Amino acid sequence: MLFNSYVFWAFFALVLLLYRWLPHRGQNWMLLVASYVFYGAWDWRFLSLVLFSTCMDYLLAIQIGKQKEARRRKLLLGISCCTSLGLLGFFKYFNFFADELTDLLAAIGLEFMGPTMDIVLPVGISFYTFQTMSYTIDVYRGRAQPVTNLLDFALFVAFFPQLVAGPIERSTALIPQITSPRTVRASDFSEGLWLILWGLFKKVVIADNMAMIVNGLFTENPQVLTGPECWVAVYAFALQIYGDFSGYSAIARGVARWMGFHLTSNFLFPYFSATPSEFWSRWHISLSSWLRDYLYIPLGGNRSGVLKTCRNLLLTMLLGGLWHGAAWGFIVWGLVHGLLLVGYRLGEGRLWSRYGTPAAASLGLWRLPLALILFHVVCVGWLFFRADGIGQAGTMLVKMFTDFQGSTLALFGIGSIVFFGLPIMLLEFWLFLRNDDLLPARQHWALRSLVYSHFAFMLLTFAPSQHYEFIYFQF
Amino acid sequence: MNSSTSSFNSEVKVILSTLLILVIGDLALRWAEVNLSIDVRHIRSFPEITRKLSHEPAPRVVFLGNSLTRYGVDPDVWASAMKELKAPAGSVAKLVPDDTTMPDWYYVALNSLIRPGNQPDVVILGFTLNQLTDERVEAGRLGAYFCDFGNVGELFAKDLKGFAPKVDFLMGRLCRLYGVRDQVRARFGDKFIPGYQEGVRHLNEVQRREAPPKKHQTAAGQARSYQLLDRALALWRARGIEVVLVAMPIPSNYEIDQVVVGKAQSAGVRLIDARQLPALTREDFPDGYHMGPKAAKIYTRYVAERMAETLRENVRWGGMTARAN
Repeated sequence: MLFNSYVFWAFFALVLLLYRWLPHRGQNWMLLVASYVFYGAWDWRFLSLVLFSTCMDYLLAIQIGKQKEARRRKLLLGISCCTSLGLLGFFKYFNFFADELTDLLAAIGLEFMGPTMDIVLPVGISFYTFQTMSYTIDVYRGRAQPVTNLLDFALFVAFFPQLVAGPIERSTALIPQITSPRTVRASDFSEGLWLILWGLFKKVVIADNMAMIVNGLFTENPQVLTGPECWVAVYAFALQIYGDFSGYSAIARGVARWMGFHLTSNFLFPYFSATPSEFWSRWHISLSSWLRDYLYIPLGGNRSGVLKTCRNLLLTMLLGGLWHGAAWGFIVWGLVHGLLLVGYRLGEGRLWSRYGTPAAASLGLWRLPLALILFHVVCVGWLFFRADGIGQAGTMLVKMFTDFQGSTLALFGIGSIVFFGLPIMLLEFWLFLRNDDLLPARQHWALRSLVYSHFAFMLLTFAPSQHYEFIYFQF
Repeated sequence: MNSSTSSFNSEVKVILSTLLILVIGDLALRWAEVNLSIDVRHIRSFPEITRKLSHEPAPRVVFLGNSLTRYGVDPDVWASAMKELKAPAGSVAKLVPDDTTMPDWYYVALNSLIRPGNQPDVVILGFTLNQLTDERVEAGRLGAYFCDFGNVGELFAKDLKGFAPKVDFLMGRLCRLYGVRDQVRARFGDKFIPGYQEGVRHLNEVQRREAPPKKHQTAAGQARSYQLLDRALALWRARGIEVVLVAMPIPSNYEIDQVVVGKAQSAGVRLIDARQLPALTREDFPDGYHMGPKAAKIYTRYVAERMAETLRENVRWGGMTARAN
């Protein structure tokens, strides 16, 4: 049941109707059933995994809360984390590591047939696993109280707007909204409407139209592509993944807002970032803050000298890459970002002493060239993220810097990127300058209706005939 | 009036004015749609084409198909070939909407071809590859062009499986902006994106070439479905219309599914194999798919030669309708 499908909106209309009619506890029960229906519509067998994670972390967190002895608390937390990561590891990484082991042993002359299984990746497992892990860790750290009502906790794990692709919510933010009665104000409706239309526009009009270009160019033999065509493939993918994922997150926020929930903003105009650390405070915010709080800081963060800070940054980004899936492309993508953060960490003092402070760069003329340079480095990361192997990415990367032969296809690609991407980027630049992604929802009604009419027109006429799944469903 | 009420009123205004703008846009498009493309103009002229044909001399022949037939059949060559072959020239019409396949052709036949006292004597259906299968049901386009609400029962029960295609059909039927989106997109693309047609064609071709074969396309097409072809043949047979299937030439070779051969035989329908005409070369397909004028002459003549005897028979018996009675 995808956000860009009719069946979801029919489902949501029914949910909303019941929601308005029910009292608070009834709303929570209904939302839990609806969330399980939503998840089960994809594959009901994997509901057992959601239920298992829910029950395990519910019980373990209560025990962690009760225990006074530090060793036992640590043991309980270890059981929770190992079970969660074990499930994630089995479904996500088993075949990858089994294949790599077989290849490695073959390389040194040992014949070994590693066990491989036809494992289907349960949708959303990376998201809800990280969400429940953050809950048990927060209870262990004493930052959150254990939830005593199973219904409330089950809804925290399975709340359908963010179940399959985030945002990864913290228990301290979402659980109080579940346990207390919610009110839906007129501003919730208008902001929800803006978020839903903006999200649908980014997904259906931008991401899906870019997908046609991206899929075509990445399917082609990289040897026959020209350099500009490789650039087009990467630019189009940068737009596609941004439109796809930020679109999903915006729809999730909008849908939740119509029910009185306020979800975390997952994207804040990341392509206008001037520095790598700013980029990670604007891109997939719920994951990057999760990695910061539960991995980078426990590793020592920046408290133990330059070398250890660099090690921690690299490890965090490598694991962030691996979180996306078991493939060398994701690992290289994590490495590129890790190196970028390390380089920035090492050079930032010198950079700012020569060109001004980050605060000056945040508004000054420096932002544009810095943002452009950073965007292109991010694009190199995207190349490894999207390519069907390191070989393809390497060939395309070489072509990008050595082959300058123009072509009609490249011209078509650039034209499409400008046609679909430029208007939304200009709009987002305005919102970025105002630092407010909900600003359009507060404009005069006439202006809003013009903007929404444009969105509706584009959604009706420029939706590709082929429907594409959300990219982050596979993670 | 408190602020909550005024906010609510403002939201109602936003929604209503957005809907109003869309309705105005939709009405404007209904008025101007025939200027969007030759194809839309052609589709909207179906009633006129069939009405005119009913007043023409028998045998009345309709070429049904897509752009392959539009480019491939030359009515003047047909007329002169019939004269030369001493067969009745009769009258010819083409119903050839772009990028259509069997599901579209069935509903064109049902809604445009078969009218009381207004139907052709012969239908020549041109196809290539898997165009006779039920594989490509484009619900939105059926709603916009080829069906009306009278078809809802049959469509929903037999052809549109699942919730999404049904909504797609209703959207296409009710909202012209949605129904003609392919034409609008092409218009905008041509105007604002350099190399639009060529780029789209190239990317589609790459993906088609590299896509893994679908499971249902293996094993000699055993799992392919031809329900709409069956229904079309039954419909034409019940109306006494002579049907001829023609496997048309394209630059690459392709197999005719043996299921189609079997169906044609059991329904008593003639199947003309024009896939590889010796006189045609790759240069006769200037855009790599459609026949050029020279190829159209050769192809039309080839079909005319094979149809001459059928048409003589048709006239001798006073048309298939008379025979059926």
